[in-house]
Amino acid sequence: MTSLCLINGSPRKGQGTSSYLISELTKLFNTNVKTKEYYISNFMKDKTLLEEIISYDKIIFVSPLYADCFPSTMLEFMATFEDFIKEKDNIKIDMYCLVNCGFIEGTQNKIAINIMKNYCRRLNFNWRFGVGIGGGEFMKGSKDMPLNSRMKKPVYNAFLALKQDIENNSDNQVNNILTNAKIPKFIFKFAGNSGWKSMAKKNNLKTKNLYKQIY
Amino acid sequence: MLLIHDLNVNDSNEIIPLLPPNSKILSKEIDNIKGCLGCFNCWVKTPGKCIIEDSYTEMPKYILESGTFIIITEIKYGCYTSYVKNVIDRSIGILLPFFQIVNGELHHLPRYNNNSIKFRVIGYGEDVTANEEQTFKDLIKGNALNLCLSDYESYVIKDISEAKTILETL
Repeated sequence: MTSLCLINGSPRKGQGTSSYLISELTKLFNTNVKTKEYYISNFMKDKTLLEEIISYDKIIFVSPLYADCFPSTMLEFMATFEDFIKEKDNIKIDMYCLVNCGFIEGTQNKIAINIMKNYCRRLNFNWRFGVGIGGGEFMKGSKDMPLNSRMKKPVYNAFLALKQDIENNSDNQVNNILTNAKIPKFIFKFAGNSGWKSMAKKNNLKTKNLYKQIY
Repeated sequence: MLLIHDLNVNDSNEIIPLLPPNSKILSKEIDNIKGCLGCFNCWVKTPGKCIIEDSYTEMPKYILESGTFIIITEIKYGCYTSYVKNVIDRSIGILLPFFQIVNGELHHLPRYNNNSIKFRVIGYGEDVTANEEQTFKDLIKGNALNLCLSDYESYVIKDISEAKTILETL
């Protein structure tokens, strides 16, 4: 039996893409992997809950990308957890991260994954690898399209790599996986821009209002 | 100038007199900053302005009026500290939600003409590793691109006294 702790750093909690990705990933594990998802806000409210994290064999830090790195609340949690770990003796947990960004390119998560790898060294945990997914909003907004569909296959394959590494207790060196759904960039850009316009419409704003220069 | 910093009181007392008069200074002591919600309302509901009411509601205004936008942050794992990062997250109304392609990658379009703004980031820490230093420099480069602040410099220092020399040259 392998126990896996999923730490969700999204300020949008269950409404965010991170939560959707966690639900898709956890579906893939066999019955020998026991998983539990935590929101970082729960740890910040009740620090005694941090003790639970160190009872797991493996951890995945899951977060959206905010301006090339993590939301401030995630960084605050990371520092709190580091202080907690410093008080403990020699805890070795296998560590992964799963970061998603709104831009289509999974490669834009590279810096955030490096931050998480640096963090892992500070914790003295065992770094496995990071997965960076692009087009996060698209992934969540197209829930009806299965993860193993042709378009989403690269993300599915990245999740399979996580599954295999975790289930096999692997200690082989694995590179970070930076990937995204197969969508031509110009189509993604057009659809994304249309999405912003329709969100504005729901707020009774016209497209030209979105360009407003208030200062 | 606009300075966002996470310095302790002693260090900030050393640094702040070096700034021109009328500079705006934001630090942890100013108000209890509320966290960015990731709601995108600064793009699609109240374009250009954050919906959270506190001393950071009008961050884009402070950046635009600054001429020089300076950050002094401790380097944590190659990143900003959480307070400084929160101020950045609260500033994205300076951009438009719409995408443009830069160097083959998607990024947001600028809302304003930011060309005259200087973006200077000083990261400090006594035990910053080589990897953390590299990550930090990559992060500032990425932020400069994503915030459409093309005139940027990043500095990594061990002791805050080195920040004085940097500030004197700005």
